[in-house]
Amino acid sequence: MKQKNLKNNLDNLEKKIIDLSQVRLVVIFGIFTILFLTLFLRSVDLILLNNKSNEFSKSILPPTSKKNRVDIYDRNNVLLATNVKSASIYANPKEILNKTEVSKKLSRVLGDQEYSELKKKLTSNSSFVWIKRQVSPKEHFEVNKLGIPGINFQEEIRRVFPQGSLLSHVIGSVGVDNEGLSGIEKKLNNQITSSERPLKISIDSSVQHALKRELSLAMEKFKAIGSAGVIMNVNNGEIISLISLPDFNPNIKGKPSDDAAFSRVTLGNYEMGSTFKPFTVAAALQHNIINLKDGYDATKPLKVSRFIIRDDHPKSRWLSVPEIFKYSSNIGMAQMARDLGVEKQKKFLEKLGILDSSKIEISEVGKPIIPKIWREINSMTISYGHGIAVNLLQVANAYAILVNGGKKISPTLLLEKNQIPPNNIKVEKVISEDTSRKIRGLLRLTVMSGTAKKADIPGYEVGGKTGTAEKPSGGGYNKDSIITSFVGVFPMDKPQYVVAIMLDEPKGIKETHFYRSAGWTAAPTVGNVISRIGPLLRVLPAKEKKYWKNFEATYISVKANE
Amino acid sequence: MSRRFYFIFGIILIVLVASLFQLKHQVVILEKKLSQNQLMITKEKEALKVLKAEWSYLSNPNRIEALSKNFLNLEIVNIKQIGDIEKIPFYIQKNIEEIK
Repeated sequence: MKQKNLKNNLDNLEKKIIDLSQVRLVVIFGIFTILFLTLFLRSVDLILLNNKSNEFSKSILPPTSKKNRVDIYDRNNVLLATNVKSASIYANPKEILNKTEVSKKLSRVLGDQEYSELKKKLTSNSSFVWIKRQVSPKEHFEVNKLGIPGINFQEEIRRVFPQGSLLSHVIGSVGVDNEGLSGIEKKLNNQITSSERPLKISIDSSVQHALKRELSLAMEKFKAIGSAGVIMNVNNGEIISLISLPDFNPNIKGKPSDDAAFSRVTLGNYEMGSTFKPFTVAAALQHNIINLKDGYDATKPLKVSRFIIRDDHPKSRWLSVPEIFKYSSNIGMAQMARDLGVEKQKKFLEKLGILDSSKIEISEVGKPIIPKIWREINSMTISYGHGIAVNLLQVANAYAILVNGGKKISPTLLLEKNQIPPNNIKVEKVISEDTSRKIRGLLRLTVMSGTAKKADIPGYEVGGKTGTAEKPSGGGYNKDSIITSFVGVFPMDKPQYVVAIMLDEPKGIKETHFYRSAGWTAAPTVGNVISRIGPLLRVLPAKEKKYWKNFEATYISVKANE
Repeated sequence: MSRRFYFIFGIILIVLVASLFQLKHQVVILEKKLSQNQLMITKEKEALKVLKAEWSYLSNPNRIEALSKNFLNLEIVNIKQIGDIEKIPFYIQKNIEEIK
C-alpha cells in the first residue's frame, strides 16, 4: 500500500513535471516562432519591398545645393551666362604671425590687391576678413601653393559670362552675391533664380559681334564718343542684336564707369532729328491728309510765331511729298504736321509706342521726354524730330511697325514670347497695308537717290532715313556736338529686319570732305552692317527689283514736276 | 520527431540569419557605390559646365575673327557670292552632250 502510494506520488510528480515541461516547451516554441516570423517578415521586406532602403540611401546623400541662377543661351544655343564653382580667399588675422611678409606674398600673387590694402585687412582685429572673392583657378592655385596658415578658401558659385563684353548691355551683370545688377539679370531676376529651364534669348551672338565690330570701327573712324545700334525682326519684334558703346566686361567685379554702364539704346533719350519724319508722313497718308502726288512750298524758311524753320539741304522750290522725304525738308514736314493737327499726330505716335517707355526685358529703360503741353509749334518741330527725346529702340520698333504692313509689335528679348500669332488672333493694325507700302517706297527712295545713298547695298534693297540733330546744352543747342542716326530696313520688297544705329558726336574726316551729317557717317555704317549680317541672317539677295519699279511707276513723277 | 524538428528549424534559422546579413552587407556596399557614383556625376557635371563655358569663351566671334585674320586666308562673305542654283551653268553636262 505504501509502495503503491509512493508509486502514485511518483506518477503524480512525473505528470506534473511533464506538464511543466510541456508548458515551457510551448512558451519557448511560441517565442521562437515569433522571432522567426519577425526575421522572415524582415527579410521579405528587404528582398521584395525594397522601397524603404531606397529612401534610406536618399537620406544619406548630401542635400541638393541651393538654387542657382539658370544658364542663359542665345537663339543658336551659344552659352551666354553660366555658373561655375570658384574659390574665395579669406583669412583669420589672428592666426597669421608675420603679417608684413604674408601681405607682400599675397600682393605678388593677386595682381589687383595692393600691399598696403592687404596689410590693413590682415592687421584688423576681427577673426574673419575676405581677401578676395571668387578668384580664378590660377590665383587659387598660386595662393594655395604659398601655403600660409590662416589663409583659407571657401567654395562659392560664380556667375561667368563667357562672351565677355559682347552682351554687357543685354544680359547685364551680377554682384558678388549673385544678385542681378543690370540688364536681363536684374529685370528677370525672379525668373532666373526660380526657373528650372535655361533662359533662351532672341539675340544672335554672331550678328551681335558683327554690329559691335562695325559700330566700333565707325566710332574710331569718326572719333565719336559713343554709339548704339539695334537690329530687330520687323514681324515679331525679336531683337537680334543690341549694342551700346562703350561697354564693360561683366566678368570683372566692381562698378563699371558711368559712361560704360549707360545704355545708349534703351536708357538714353535723344532728339532724333529727321529720323522722325516717316512717322508724320505715315500719319498724314493714313488719315488721307495728303497723297504722294501732293506737295508743299519750300521756297523760303517758314516763320511760325518766333521760330524760323529752315532746311538743311534747301531746294528753294515747291517739293512733292517724295521729294520732301528724300531731301529731308523741314519746311515741308512742318506744313504737313500743321495740316495733320496736334491730336492726330499725338495719337499716331502713341500707337507707334513712341510716347511710352518700351516694355523690354532690360532693367535700364528710359522714359521718353515729351512736351507737357502739345501746341501746334511742338507738333511742327516734332514732325522733324525736335522737341521730343526718345530712345533708339523705340524708333526701331516704330519703323518695324511702319514697314511690316502696320502690325503692332513690341520689342522683346525672349525667344518663347512674341511668336507670330496664329491667324485667328487679330493683330492690332496701326496703319494700312497700302500706307505701309508707300512708306517702304519712300524709305527706298531716300537710299536710292536721297540723303542716304551710302547705305545702298546692291542685292539687298535697303531703305531708310537719316537723322542729324544737335545735342541740347544749356538752354539751346550745341552746334559742335551732334547725334547722327540712320534707321535702315532690308530687304525692302519684303522687309525682315530693321537696323537702327546712332553715333554720338561724330566728327567730319577727310574722306567725308569733313561732313559729319548722318548721310556721311551713320548711313555708310548701316550699309556695312547690312552687307555683313545679311548672309548671317540667311537673307537672300533679291533676284529682281520688281517692287521698286512698280513704286516708281505709280507714285514718283519727280521729273515731270520739275 | 522533436529532434528532427529542432534540427530542421535550426538550419532554417542559420540560413535565414546568414542570408539576411549577406543582404544587408550587399545593400551597404551598393549604397556606398551609389553615393560615390552620384558624387562622380556631380563632379562630371561641374566639369562639363566649366568646359561648356570655356568652349563658349574660346569660340567667341571676336577671338575667331582674330584667329582667322592671322591664320586663314578667308574674308567675310560678300553678297555677290550668294546666288541662285539655277544661274550655275552646267558646262560639264553640256560638254558631254556635245561629245555624244
